[in-house]
Amino acid sequence: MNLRYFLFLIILFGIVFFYLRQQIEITKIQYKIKDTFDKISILDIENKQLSVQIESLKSYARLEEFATKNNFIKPNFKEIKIVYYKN
Amino acid sequence: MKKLNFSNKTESFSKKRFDLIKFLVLLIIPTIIILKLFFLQVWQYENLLPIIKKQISTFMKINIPRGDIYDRNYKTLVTTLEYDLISVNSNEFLKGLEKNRDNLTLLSKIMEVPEIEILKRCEKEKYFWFSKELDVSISYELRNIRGLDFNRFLKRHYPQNNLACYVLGGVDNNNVGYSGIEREYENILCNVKSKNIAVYKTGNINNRTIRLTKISDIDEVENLNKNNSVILTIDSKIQYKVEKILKDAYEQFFPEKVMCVIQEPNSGEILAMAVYPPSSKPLSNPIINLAFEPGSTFKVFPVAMFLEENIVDKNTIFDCENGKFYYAGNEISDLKPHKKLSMKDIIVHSSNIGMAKAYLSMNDPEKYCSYLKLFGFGTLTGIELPGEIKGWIVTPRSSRWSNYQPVAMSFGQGMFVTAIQIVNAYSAIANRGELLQPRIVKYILDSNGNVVQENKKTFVRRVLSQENADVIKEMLEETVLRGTAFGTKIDGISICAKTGTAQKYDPQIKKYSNTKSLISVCGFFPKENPMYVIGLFFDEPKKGRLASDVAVPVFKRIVLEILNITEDIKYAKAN
Repeated sequence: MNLRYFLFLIILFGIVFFYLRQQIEITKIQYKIKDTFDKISILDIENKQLSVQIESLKSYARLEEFATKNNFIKPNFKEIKIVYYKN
Repeated sequence: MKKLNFSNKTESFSKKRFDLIKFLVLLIIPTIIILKLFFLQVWQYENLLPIIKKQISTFMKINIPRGDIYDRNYKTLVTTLEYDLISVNSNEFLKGLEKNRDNLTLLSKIMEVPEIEILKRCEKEKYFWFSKELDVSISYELRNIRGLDFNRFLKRHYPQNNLACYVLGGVDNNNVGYSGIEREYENILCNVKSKNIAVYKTGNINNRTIRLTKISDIDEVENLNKNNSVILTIDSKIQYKVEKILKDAYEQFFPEKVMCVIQEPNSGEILAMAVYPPSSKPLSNPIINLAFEPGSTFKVFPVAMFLEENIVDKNTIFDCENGKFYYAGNEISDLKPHKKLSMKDIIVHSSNIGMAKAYLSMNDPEKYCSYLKLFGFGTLTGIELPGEIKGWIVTPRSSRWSNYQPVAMSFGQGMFVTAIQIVNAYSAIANRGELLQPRIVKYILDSNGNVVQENKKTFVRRVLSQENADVIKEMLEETVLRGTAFGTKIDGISICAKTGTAQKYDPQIKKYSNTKSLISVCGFFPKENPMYVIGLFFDEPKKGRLASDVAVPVFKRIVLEILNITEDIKYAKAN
């Protein structure tokens, strides 16, 4: 008789323990998922920032500044002759 | 034995009682609990759910970024980036430092504030903010520090700096558009500002404050309604070149402002709309809300009417009175005196007297004013920008009408037009008489890049027959080949253009000023199949008095740059 109750209590304790452990694990996994989503959103934002940075680096003003520094300058429009005209 | 029996009976009774208790414990109580749970979770579900949600959850506000603005080649002109501002709860922060002193060093390094300064502020203030705006990837490194709170905000970003600033407009501190496309398309760019999503109340694990979001809510965040983007008709390459040319012109002639509009005549699309000097907070766009007397660039429109009404043809001769003519008590003069000129030469040499004489040969003010309105003067063009004004054309019924009024209008004075109106009217001539609505927005895209709205070419009305449009084109080409716009001539390309120098009315001296003028050139090219209509306007240049000195070389430079960008021509240094 005592053994039966003992076994019953063991199983009950086991079930409760398993249930609590499961809840803790679920909570931990939820935190991990939340963290991963945070990282994804941060990477998304970072990605957008980088693409904007690329746009800024490729802006015409910067390219022209770079070209001028390296002496890739077009002749003044008063000194030019047209060498090709597409009709 | 009896005793024994008695004890057996007692034992049997107690066993039965125990079995009953066991039965109650193992069956009835769980049944009651199950029934109660069923009652609460199934029967009362609808009523109890909101109460439970209120108890265990709170709401988190997610800011939805405004839509982006792109040019016609999908180059980003305006976008929104997210940043973090950091606030510190001093007590919590100091408690956290007791366990990990390295946090202070990390915070000091990222915020670029000495450690001692941070500690002093913690002692002085219970709660304070750092002014530095942090990239979210950097603020993520600080997420484990106790006592810090992160406040995410959205900021408009312009990768091309001030490019097309008057077209794009601006947003205020609350991310609400106050001018330009930002204002006109406020409902499209910012249809959804923010959304509240349900999250569990703040939790705390390892001294780390976390808002635990339900997985289903995360899906909801991922699928939030995002705002639409706007694709403009502006070509940022042409826009940049034009702005650069205007900057050089501004530094050479010192006008109050210099404006340029480039339009594609066969679609009505605006390729460039530039104003110099630029503004970091443009409140209004002078191209659509600054009205001025256009001067000689306007002359082609009365001539179009005279041709349509068969009052003149291109060879009709008018006596230009050797440079001085009096009508209704007003002196009309020409810059260069001429005796007799044909209608074509009146345009080529820009004779005011010739235009006055041409009007007087018709002298029908009602018809004259209503015809000019057909070109769009005195009415809104309907361009998708806020604050457009109609300009002003006096009608014969107005109290301000005088006999001199229509004569003055024939050479572009006594009336007010906007830059966009005059460029759009030139487009109608380039387009062989078809007036189109000017457009600056090409598409509206949803967050996945699908077109949700396409602004198509809008035909307004025919204002001129094709034959007469060709005659006007011929006159404008002659103006470039041997007239006032000679400086715009480029070998091998047929350019049509007309210059204008309009004296401005000075309200202080109550007459036209000798020093203040509006100098302009309007034209299009190539003549055979016009691709670009250009309007260039100098408002009150301090250096240079004539269009041929001020606006014509700048106009030619713009034409060359457009041809170079489109690779229709290639040029090299002459020697």
